[in-house]
Amino acid sequence: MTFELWQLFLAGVAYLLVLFLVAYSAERGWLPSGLARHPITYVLSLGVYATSWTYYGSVGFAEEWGYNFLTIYLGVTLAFALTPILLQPILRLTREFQLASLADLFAFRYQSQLAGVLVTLFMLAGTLPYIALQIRAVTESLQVLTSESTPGLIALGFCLTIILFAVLFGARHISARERHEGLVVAIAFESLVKLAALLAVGLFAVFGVFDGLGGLNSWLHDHPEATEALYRPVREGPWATLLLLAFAAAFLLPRQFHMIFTENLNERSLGFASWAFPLFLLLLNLAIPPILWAGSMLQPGTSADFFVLGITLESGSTWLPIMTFIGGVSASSAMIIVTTLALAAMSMNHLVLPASFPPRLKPDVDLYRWLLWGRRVLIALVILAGYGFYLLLERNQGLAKLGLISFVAVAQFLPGIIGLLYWRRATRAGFLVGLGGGAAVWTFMLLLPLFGQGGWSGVTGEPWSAATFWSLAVNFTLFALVSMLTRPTTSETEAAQACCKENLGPPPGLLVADSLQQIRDQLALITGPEMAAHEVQRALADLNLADAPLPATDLRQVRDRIERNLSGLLGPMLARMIVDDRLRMDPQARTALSASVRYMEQRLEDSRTRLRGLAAELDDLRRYHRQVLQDLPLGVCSLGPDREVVSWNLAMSVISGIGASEAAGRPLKELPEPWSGLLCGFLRAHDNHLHKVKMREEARVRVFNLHKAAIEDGASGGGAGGTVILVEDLTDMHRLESELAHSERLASIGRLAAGVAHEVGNPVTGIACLAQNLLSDRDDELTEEGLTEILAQTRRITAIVQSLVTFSHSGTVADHAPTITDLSDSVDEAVRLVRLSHAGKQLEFEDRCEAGYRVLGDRQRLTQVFVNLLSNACDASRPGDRITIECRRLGDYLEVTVEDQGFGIPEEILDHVFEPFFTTKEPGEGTGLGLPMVYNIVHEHSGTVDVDSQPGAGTRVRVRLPAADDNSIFSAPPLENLTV
Amino acid sequence: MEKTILLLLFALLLLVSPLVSYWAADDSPWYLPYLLWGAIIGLTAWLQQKARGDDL
Repeated sequence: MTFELWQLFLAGVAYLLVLFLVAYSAERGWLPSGLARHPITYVLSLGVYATSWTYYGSVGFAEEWGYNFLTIYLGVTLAFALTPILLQPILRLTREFQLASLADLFAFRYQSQLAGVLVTLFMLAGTLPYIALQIRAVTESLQVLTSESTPGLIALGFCLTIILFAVLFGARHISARERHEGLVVAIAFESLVKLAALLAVGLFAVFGVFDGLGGLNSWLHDHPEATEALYRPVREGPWATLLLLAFAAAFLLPRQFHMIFTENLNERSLGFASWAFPLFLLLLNLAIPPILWAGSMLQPGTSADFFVLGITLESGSTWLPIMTFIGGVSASSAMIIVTTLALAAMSMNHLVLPASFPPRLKPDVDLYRWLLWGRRVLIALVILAGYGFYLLLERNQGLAKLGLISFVAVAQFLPGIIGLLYWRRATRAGFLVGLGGGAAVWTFMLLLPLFGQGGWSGVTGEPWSAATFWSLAVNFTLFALVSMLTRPTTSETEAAQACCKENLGPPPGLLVADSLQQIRDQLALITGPEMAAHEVQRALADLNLADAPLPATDLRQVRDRIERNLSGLLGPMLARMIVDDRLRMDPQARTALSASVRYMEQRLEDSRTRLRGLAAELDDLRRYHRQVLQDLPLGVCSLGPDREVVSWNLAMSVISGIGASEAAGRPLKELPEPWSGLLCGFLRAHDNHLHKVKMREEARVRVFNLHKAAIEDGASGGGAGGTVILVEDLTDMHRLESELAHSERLASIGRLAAGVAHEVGNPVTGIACLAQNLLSDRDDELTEEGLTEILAQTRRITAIVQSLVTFSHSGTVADHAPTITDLSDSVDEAVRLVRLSHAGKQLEFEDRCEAGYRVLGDRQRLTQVFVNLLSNACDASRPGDRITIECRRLGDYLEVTVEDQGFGIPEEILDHVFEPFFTTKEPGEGTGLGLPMVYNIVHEHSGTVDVDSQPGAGTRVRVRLPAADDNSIFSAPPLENLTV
Repeated sequence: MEKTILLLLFALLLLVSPLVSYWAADDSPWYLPYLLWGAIIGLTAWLQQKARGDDL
């Protein structure tokens, strides 16, 4: 059976139209949105690896080299099995630094435009034969089906159609880094078509030719030489060499690199592809041996390279040969499209742009448009160059041979990849010299013989092993030797560290430009104002930053982001050249500690799943300590040497109402008030601990304990310097204490009540008698004397009532503001109050406290101290005993002694008298809070209290308080909004 | 990472060691290379699933 050329042409055009439709539907969103991002789509798109060599050539390869043909896929399986340590790191690098091709990757790692140029030229030279192979496969498949030679215009027409598709769906966006969903879906569709077609041919071979698996087995039983012919070359042939070549080709071929890394839409898909893609290849190759044997049996009159197509002509079906032909077209077209896109991007970034940028490009040129059309022209040129190569090729070259030439070429990048991922010491010179050496051997041993020239007469049999060995031996040796003999530049070292992920810290230096507008203005000098504004906006969006005044560290990040985005547009070297030239750095400027910490934490978060062993354990430890700090019920705020906030824990956020993200990185003085004033004031204070610091916040007063400590400086202690501040919120506790004190005062009044009644009763009786006398005796002189006495008695009552009111008043936190208070006033008032009590009346009070002993404090609370002490003294004294109160100065302190002649306190309970609720009194007579309250109040006033007692002889309580002068109120801790 | 290296060593043992001459004997069933290939793919898938579980 044969077909007419026009029939096949129409079938081919119809298929390509379907392909256009699929791609267009994906681009327009007519297909489900998740389709392009689905891991299966990604895996199928990687099927671009299987070209017409796989589709047609595998059978020919199997006939000549037996199961060696499987190495081309087993090598890929090995490379994908190494996804976590080989492909994932490259994917992250290409994503992080916006690297669109292998040339970008090497130019970035070795900081060399020449590296990019060399890689691009070598890729072009190594891949053009491969493109030619695809064109030849299509034309030869037409010959097989039509049994006549194919007009040259068919090949050209095929190339032009592919150019149109590649331009429409592969160069829609300005940047090569932009993903092309339509392209990905179309290439996945092509893989599905070729898989279905090849499996259909395989099924025809098994069931159509051998009448099922039983027939196949019996044929194999009758022809043991068929299986032997597959196994023998494995034992004798270039098995290991081919494995190595396929291993390298799996991710270094331009189309593979483009689909694995550049068009990757979902990072997790690569993990799925690590086994699913080899599985796809296995399914694709399962049909090859049956097709080979069917071809051997049927002898369709074609070379083994086209048995796939030849045996279908024996099927009697019209759709099977057409379907097989379409499968071949899809294999060829997918390879040409993706390879061309990759080569066009490389050529643009490493050949065209370096030759024309700058100075030929001016700011008034629309660079985006220029780049887009440049890539489109390059796509056309690359495909046409492949067509030219196709015209030059000798017809007797097998499909596999042309493919392997490309494989050996890309294997020359293996040393560079090792330097990229694992060997920081590798240098630009080592890479360039090694690649040059390997490329020279490849050209001499493999490329020139294609044109009937060159070659090495010493090689007999297959040339792959010798060419691979010598090219890689020369390449590796030169790479290692020259790298060891030369020193990497600073930029190379930085790039190597970025690639090896060994440096977690931010790069040194800060941007000279100090605003986004300056960045725009500087960039505009090269790219024009529109593109500059667009790039800055894009960088801000990528970094989630607002278009507002930014700190220096954020501006530095914007610069880095712009460089990366430009790298996706122009290649890494040009991008660096532009930002180095226009966005200059001040290398001496120091990155703020907070920015460094945030940068490192972010990097650690990003690489968490990749940490192993000791690094992972150290990271766990770091996380534990950070969590402890976060969950601490005290507010913790650490400050860098420049007083910018480095960390701000959860409790601090709750206490202050300022979120960690809002506080981190900001100078302390820029925090919202009153926190800025409070913390800045505390930092200036000499004391490392301040207790019961009061801060007015809106309508309420809050009470804190503040503590601070210096963080050891790096030079001495390994830290980074700075200060850590702890904030303890006592507002609630302070309120409870106040309420308790108020209760205690009320309790004291209760105890005084009888005495008060008596005290008030006496003057009232006196007033009543006087009034009676005045009523009976109307003598003016007596009247005046009586009224004077009445007023005196009234004042006495008023004084008693006033003392009670003052004492019992609960007050607010703000009322307890410290003032200069004379101790004698508090003592006098306390004596007056205690004298009101029943016990107090029977005792003699000797108040030797003179005026002039002044302290900084709260008069009401100090009175409470002496009331409690005197009440206890009264309770412990017998009627007629004397209680003595003395004041004296001891250096910077004032000492008030309250001494009684009572029962004293037994030694065994002396240590417990300041414990809350400890009392020796009968239930209902004492709360056990008197002395603890004395202790607290004295402690709050930075004083001390101690008790000295001799059972039977009396007790002496000494209260020491810091003396105050007239300036004390001004020398209190210089905190704003703060009272102590 | 260690498991990936072990997988690579296992695959190399199967594919580029003297073991090749055993499974590539003339009387081996024709589908044997595919079974070995499938075993390597299966191990890779297992490790991948495990690593994903560990990440979660």
